[in-house]
Amino acid sequence: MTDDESLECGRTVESVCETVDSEPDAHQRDCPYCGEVRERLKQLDRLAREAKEADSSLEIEPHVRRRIVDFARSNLRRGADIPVHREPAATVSFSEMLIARTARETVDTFPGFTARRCRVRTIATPDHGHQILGLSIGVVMAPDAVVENLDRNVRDAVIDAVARKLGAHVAEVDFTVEDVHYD
Amino acid sequence: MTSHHSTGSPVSPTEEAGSTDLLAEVARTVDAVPGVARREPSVGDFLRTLWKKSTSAEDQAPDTQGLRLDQVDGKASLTVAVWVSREAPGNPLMVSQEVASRVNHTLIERGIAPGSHQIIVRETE
Amino acid sequence: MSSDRNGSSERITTLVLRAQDGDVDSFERLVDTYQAPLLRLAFRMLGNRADAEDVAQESLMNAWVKLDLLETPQAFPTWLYRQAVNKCRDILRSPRRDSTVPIDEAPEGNPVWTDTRASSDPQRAAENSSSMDALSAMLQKLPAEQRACWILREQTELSYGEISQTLAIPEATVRGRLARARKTLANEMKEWQ
Repeated sequence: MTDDESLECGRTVESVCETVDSEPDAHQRDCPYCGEVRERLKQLDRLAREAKEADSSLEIEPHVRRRIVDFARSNLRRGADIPVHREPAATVSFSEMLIARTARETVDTFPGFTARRCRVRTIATPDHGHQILGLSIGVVMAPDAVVENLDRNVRDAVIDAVARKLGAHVAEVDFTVEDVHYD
Repeated sequence: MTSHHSTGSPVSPTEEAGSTDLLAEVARTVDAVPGVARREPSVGDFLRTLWKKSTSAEDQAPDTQGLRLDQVDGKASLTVAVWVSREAPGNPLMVSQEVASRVNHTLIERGIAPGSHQIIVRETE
Repeated sequence: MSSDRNGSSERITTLVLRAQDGDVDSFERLVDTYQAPLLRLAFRMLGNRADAEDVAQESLMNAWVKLDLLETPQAFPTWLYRQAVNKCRDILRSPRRDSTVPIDEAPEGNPVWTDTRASSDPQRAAENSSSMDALSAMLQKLPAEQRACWILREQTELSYGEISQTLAIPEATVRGRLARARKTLANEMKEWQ
């Protein structure tokens, strides 16, 4: 057998490849060249299956996994620094990630809702006092979750959590339902 | 995306002898505030921290990483990025305001007029 | 990977979005989902476990660093596999300091990127061949681009579309390389018997 397209019988290697999973046709049944290729391809499939079987126990070492996660924890992407409070004496800012995380964790406490991304924007920047923030949160819902709860409960909970846990003032929260998860 | 603009000269350890002490003292003041868990090594964001490979004497000055003190018209303004502990006595805003207050105290004790500080809370732990 | 669709690809998208926002817990779950496929892909590309683990680790760390640059979270899996394949290529192309083996030319005139380190150092070659099973040994005979297509199809079980996305080549090219890979491997089966 050569690397060329054609076998000695005139047929191409490719033609055998394409039909290896189905029944051999009349020519292939009798042809020793096609037969040989067919046999080899089947053995290759067997080898591939065995290799996959052998690989199925291949996992990264625990210390490598730890290294990856530690790396992530010590190299956090913070997003923008968002001013949350201004006075002549000092301006206090929080990283967008910090505000997003508090919002996300609050949404997650409501059964049937999972937060995705949370974008923080500044609505007003008075010279004195709290800066007014707005949040845009993407959520996914379980099919039995009540979407009205976002307006009824979740919004207030988010505003309250950010005020209490961080000290920042959110005036608006808009939710976008991005997907419904069927478990 | 901080909105501060510093046009003054940064006080760095490589300048006047007295300024090293000042920066170190301000650093100690910040670290001593209840609820301040740590300072970030760089005032910039994560990407800059990751790729910056600095070997200047300034950056090797002990204990003053992540702090910048700018002096404009005789007033000193601090820029610092911190992590706040989840067990802090108050929320991150309160802790930050306490940082500003104590730093003002330290500056005034040295006869330096406080300017307008920038305190950035990057993370809680 | 292409076997369980819908539910789990949405879940992956959610994890990716949360990770983009800095949620390390979500990233951890992505690590747990993809560490094995990455490791197995690299193992079959490179033929040795140590290098494969380096590739898996670097791909995941790199993914974390660059995650915000990923505009379509749905493309995370193929984006991740692409990084792994790129790293495998880098490893295959960089000769060891002590290696002087030239790059072979395959019959069709395309350079064959073989693992030069394996062939240069006899002891290493012995180690590699003992840890390399028959399939790995045969896969090393394939040019890297065909090898990648074959592994992504047969081992990682990606669809043609996903392989096309991973390698940034048209589907027709994927099919062509797979056909050539099968032919070469079928030929190799003869030697192996």
